[in-house]
Amino acid sequence: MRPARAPFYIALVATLVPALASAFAYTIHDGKGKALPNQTSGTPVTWRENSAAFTLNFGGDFNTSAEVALADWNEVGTRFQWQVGTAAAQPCNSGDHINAAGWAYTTCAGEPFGDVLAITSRVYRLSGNTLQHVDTDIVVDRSRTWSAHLPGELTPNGAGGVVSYDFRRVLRHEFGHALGLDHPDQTTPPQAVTAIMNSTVGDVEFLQPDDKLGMVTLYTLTDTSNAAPNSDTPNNVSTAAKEGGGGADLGWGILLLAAVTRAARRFYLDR
Amino acid sequence: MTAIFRHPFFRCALVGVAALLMAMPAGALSVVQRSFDELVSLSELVLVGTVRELHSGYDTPDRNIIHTQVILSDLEVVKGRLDTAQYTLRITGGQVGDRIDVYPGLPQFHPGQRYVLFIRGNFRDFFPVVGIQQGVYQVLKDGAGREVVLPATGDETRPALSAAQLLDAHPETLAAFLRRVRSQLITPAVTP
Repeated sequence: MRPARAPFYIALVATLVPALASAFAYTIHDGKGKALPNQTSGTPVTWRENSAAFTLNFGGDFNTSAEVALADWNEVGTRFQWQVGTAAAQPCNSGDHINAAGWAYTTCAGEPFGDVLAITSRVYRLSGNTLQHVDTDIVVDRSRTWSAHLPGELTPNGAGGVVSYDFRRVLRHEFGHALGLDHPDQTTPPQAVTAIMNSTVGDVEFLQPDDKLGMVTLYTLTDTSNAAPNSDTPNNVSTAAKEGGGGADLGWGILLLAAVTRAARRFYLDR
Repeated sequence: MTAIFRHPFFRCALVGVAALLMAMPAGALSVVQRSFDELVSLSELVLVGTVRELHSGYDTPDRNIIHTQVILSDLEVVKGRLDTAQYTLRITGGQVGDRIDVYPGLPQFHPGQRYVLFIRGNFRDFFPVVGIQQGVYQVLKDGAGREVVLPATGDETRPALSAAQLLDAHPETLAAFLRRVRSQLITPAVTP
């Protein structure tokens, strides 16, 4: 290696890596029967199955938009794939073990949503020494104004609020919760990262590298050797939300790092 | 060596790196953003209190939903009126037996921890705090023994930051924070 090359590589990596460092958060099992949310290390609580179905009750364009949001997570390309479910189910029956999503004017307990736009619930069961994710439901506040899809930045109204909420980006966020991801900006200390999994409404529309890396971490690294038989073929499924990618997509950040490193190396070696 | 700094690739890389480093948390979904003014004006009760106990149970007839009652004591009421020495905040989620209901994004309360809470809709709303996590602040002691406030996180296993992390965070003292709240209470409404 030429003497001048090493510092360049070190500086390049040192400069890029902090910006690309993962910040995603997830819920873990503490090994003593407790679920601990917003962690950045530990054993994540994930779906043991390789797929799970979601019954979508939004109707029309909103159902289509929800399917796109499901497909976006599938395209990350991990072992876990969402399916569109056909079993009739409403989101507020957490004991039916059928994942469902739909509109509601109140939360499942009949309470006003308050400042919440949509709520994902995750039901875990303690079985032996493991926590199993057995049911997930999503309710979206029907009393607000929604658009099936609003590309680009959200336009505030005169009062600083949002005229119409983008249903698709909200569902992308909620399906991330359904996978087991939490808010990266709610860890201790809070992390600053661009992610659709951050906690408040904003202009992030698509899954970000940190979101994808979170799913890859949860579903590529978790053990599936004890997965239930035939778990790949749930029987209440119409279609896969969309075909997933062939391999894990580690996100734009890693791709950028690789591209920059490659190009820098070529520049130096060609001189 | 300086040729690299003039190379278009290097300039593009620099711009890219700068953009990455300057990327602010744009935030995402689920919760309406609330300003500090809104936290104060929309809350029915602002108090400082210490979590004494947490009790989880089913309190709907169909036993479909778990709620947790957070018992607070050592209260200091900043906005509103309270005639009791303890206050119970009811939040959704919790653990009963082998079932755990998790609502991602809801702040976790830790026994023994002191909080500032901007409360609205207690025993009515899903999570009766204005702006959900935005209306929950932890009260911590810094290295000098002063009470300081930090926005709450959802991580109950690490309720307090280390002294070094606290220094880095440059937290506001509790006294200054409460002065800010009280100043909002006496600020007259802006009229056109």
